[in-house]
Amino acid sequence: MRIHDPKLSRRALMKALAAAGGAAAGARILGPFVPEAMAAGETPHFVHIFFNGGLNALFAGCADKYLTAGTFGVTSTNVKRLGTSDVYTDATTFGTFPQFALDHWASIGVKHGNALHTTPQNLNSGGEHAFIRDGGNCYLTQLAYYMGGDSAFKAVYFGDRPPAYQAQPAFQGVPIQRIVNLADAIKAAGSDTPDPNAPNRPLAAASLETAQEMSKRQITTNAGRLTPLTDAYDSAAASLKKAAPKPVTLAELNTAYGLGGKTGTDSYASMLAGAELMIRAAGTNVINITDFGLASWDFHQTGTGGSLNGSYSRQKMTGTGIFGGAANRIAPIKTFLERMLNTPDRNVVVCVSGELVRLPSGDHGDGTVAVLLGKNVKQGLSFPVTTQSRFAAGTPGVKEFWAAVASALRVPGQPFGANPHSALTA
Amino acid sequence: MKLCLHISLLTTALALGSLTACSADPDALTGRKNAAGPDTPGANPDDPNATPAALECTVKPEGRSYILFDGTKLETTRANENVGVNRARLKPFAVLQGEYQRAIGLVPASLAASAGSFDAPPPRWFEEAQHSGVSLNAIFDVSFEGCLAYTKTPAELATAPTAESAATFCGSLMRKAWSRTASPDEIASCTNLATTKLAAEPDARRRWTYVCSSILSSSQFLTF
Repeated sequence: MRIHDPKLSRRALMKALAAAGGAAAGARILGPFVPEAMAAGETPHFVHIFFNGGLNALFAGCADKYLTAGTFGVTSTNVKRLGTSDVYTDATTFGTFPQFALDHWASIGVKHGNALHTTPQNLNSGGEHAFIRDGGNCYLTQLAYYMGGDSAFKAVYFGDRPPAYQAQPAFQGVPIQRIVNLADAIKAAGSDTPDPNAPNRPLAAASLETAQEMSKRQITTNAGRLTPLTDAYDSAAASLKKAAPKPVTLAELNTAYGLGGKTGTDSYASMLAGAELMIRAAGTNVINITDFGLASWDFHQTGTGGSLNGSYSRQKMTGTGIFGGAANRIAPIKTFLERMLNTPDRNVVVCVSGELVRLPSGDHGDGTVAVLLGKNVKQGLSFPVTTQSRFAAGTPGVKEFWAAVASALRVPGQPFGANPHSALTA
Repeated sequence: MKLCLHISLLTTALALGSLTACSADPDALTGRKNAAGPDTPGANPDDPNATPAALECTVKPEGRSYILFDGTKLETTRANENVGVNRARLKPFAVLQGEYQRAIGLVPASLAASAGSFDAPPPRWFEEAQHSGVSLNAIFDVSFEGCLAYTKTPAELATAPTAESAATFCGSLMRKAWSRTASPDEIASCTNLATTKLAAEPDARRRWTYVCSSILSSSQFLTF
């Protein structure tokens, strides 16, 4: 039976309190029901840049492990050591990240125990599913909830499909929504230049709330596809009620990321620009950017020197070689890091990862090494892979990784339990 | 050979019989009278006052029970959901032009450039459309533009809405846009918007424009 389950959500609670106590009801008066995480400090933002089907650990900080055997084409001249740490990465790609990112880089081993791909045919298994899902919940929406704040778009994603290939569940009334157009996102957040003919924002909010009211019965009796509309109405109306943030213009983003005047989010650079936009204009807390295509970083090819995964990955990252027609992935990531990672008043934490390390044979392993970047991240390596891309016994799992993310974001308490990587996330 | 044919026909007949197991009503596939008995108030999904009970299958399905290797029954995880209900689907962008034309007699100019605003699936991929808060806001903006033109000239929209005029306008546009008659509650919500929530809007025609946009942003207009 698929009937809308009227659980007590955060928004429902807010509405109830607003109705009972007047329009002044806000997140802060909700006491223990709403996390007040960063209300008084830096606003936290988490951006997950996801290379589906990868990411080779040589990029994620373990390049030195492959030096002796020359695995993945690693040589002493194409790796870069970060400071005096044990972190070694690929010199021409991740090694070109801004110095602040290199200085605040933690490589974190995650053994999730599933070496398969999550695909539309394998939705409930595989590495991506293991990395994103916490039983019936999604780590992304959970994290957004625990980060607190009052953004109308607390969690969003970019890419040509939802994380782990399926619509992810909302957590405590916090959904994750797709952004497909930057111009629309700016308008929805109220950060565009005012148009005298455009609808007045509070009146538009009232009209959308009424549209939701009129839609209630249909949504309830067609729960199969229409339930997410409830979140969409909530977010749209909530955003319209907020005071307009500082302007973010498309022209500015276009120049910074080289978008060629396009506003769709169908290019790699536009997704990174969208991440900046959603942080600045909407105060979004959690952003997922998944590269396009099905397992598109899954390079199994081998040559005379063994696996070609390293060289194929390098070429795809830089849009060179056999990927000469593809977009450069590193350039927009660098732009985003330069502009956002050390922003005052914000605590931006970026994770660059895939879900499956690559074995010297070219096949994939049962975990990943994630790169965590942020103000509160220390340079270092926690539970790296071996020369054979294997994880040592006792390597922490997925929940522990999210515990480290929560710690770097300064989320109060330990919503995902103890953080075994605490030496790197002070 | 003949025996095989007979067995095959018998099997097909049994299978077809089981398709209507949720209701013995031979009209089941038409979507009529297949939700619940006529004595159950609000249980017909075609009724504007339908309740969630309309989703439930009220007649025990007939058919075999299959025991799985783990001892559980195959049918235990089958959704208790009737035939022909819970079937609303969001309209894809491709049909919105015709839908605006049908509902308000014109197509907002900005719609043509709005394809990128909607959750269109990428090439060689299938995914049903879904709306986010951003795309709903975009729909409202497109509708507002269309409704500005729609409310620009009618003489009866030159004055601010009253309870009576709002009920008439709402009921009429809802019927047209939704392809069904609105329930009293739905008209009351719309009337309340027109007469109370939009009181801050001094321009009568713009006030009607918000009402029109609200109707065109409701799920009933956005779905088949």
